[in-house]
Amino acid sequence: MTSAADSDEALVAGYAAGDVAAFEQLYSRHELPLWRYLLRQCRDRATADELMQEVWFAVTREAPRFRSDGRFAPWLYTIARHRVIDRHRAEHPAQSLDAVADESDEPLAARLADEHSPSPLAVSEQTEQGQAILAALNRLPPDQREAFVLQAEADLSVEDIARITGTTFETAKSRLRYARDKLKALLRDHAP
Amino acid sequence: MNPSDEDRALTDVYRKASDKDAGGPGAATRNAILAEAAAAARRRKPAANDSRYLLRGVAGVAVLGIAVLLWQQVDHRMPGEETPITVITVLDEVKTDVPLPSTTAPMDAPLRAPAAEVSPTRRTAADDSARSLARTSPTEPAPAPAVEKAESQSAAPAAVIANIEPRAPAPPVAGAPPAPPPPPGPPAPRVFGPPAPPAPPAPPPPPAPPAASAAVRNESARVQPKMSADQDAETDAVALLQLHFPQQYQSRTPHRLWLVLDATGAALRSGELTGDQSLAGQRLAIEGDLGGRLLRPWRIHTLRNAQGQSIELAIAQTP
Repeated sequence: MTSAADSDEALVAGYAAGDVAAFEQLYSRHELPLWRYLLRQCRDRATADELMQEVWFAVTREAPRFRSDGRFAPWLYTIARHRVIDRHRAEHPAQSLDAVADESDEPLAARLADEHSPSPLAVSEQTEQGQAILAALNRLPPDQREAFVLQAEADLSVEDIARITGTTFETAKSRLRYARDKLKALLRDHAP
Repeated sequence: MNPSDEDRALTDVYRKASDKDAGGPGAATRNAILAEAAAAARRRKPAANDSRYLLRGVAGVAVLGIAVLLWQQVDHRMPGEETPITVITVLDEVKTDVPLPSTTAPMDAPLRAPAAEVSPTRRTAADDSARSLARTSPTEPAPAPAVEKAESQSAAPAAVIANIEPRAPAPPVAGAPPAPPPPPGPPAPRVFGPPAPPAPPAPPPPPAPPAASAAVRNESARVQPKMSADQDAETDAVALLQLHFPQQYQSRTPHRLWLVLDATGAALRSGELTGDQSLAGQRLAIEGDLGGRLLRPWRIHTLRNAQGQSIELAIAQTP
């Protein structure tokens, strides 16, 4: 629990006023969760590094315009999500990550992921629960995976996830539930 | 949505796996981000000791000050609008607070001040009420007794009376709608024969003037000779208030102010009494501040500022 003085919002305000130490503290607080969110979305470390720079450069530019009544984490992950979408559109101009008609349909990104990641069955042979869950995560539809990673990495609420992904509360809640149910089923299969 | 134990276990398993698998961004990425953050902060923060900003600041303050001074010099009244200054004098209160009979008493006519002494821009609510009384006075155009007509002709000009004595007959105020025509009635009986004798003898007073009316007339007679001097003093006080206390003059709260002038009328010291400060206590401090010069007695003016707030202004002069 952070006090008001060292809350994310106070640190952004401090950095906007010229306090570089405030930025360093803010960065260290969000470095790993944000980078892992980017990695789970693009599945490439080099791309995650590039996106990480772009996101934080945007933060340095936009910090003076950050609304004092807003919350930093949803703002940060909204920037990150937009960068991920921009990057995907640049690499796949005719396709969309969000081209999902139904929660049960596998979108293009998931099919692409299948081609590059081992199946859960293969991973399960490693008897490594963590590896299995990461592999299963990669098989989730991007919307569900994104909702789960935002909750698990950044500890965001369903309301925040809905705001970041531009959906309703019910949709975000539904995506999160689908993701958890699939991963829990996998965990039960690989329970020691 | 409250995560169940199973949900929490799932999150824990994922986080452990992610810690092992993902790691973090490269050191180069981290360094680039922190360097850019420092550079952006430097670009954003203006150097406080930069002479450009200092000059801009000074110039801005100077322009603002000039603008305020110019604004204070301009008369902001709209065409036809009267000044918002309202001076309440003892005489006004006497005129408005005590009801008087509508009969005219000629005895105080010679004591009335000439109309020119009352500036049109200093017209007060009391003056307005006097005019309205004059317009509605039954003795004005109409079937008045000849005695009163003769008195009106021999007394001071009607305009003067209208400004000073509410019950005297007077012509309508310039710009006001003309008085309605007199209602038809029987001709008034004439008592003194031919009209307009050069100097009619003073008639006896009306049959039964109330005692209060006489008392008030006596009070008016006692105060009126001082009116012109009082009004001048009040005018001066308002001018001094505007000049030396511009903020209090526009304030929306009452103030107690003091001002010390030298023999030429230039302001030596000024200030405001706050809380329970007394003028007597302040006087000692002021005299000490002025090197022991004794002040003449304070003249205390109760004024209204532009916002209608009560302003108590005490003025003293050095010999």
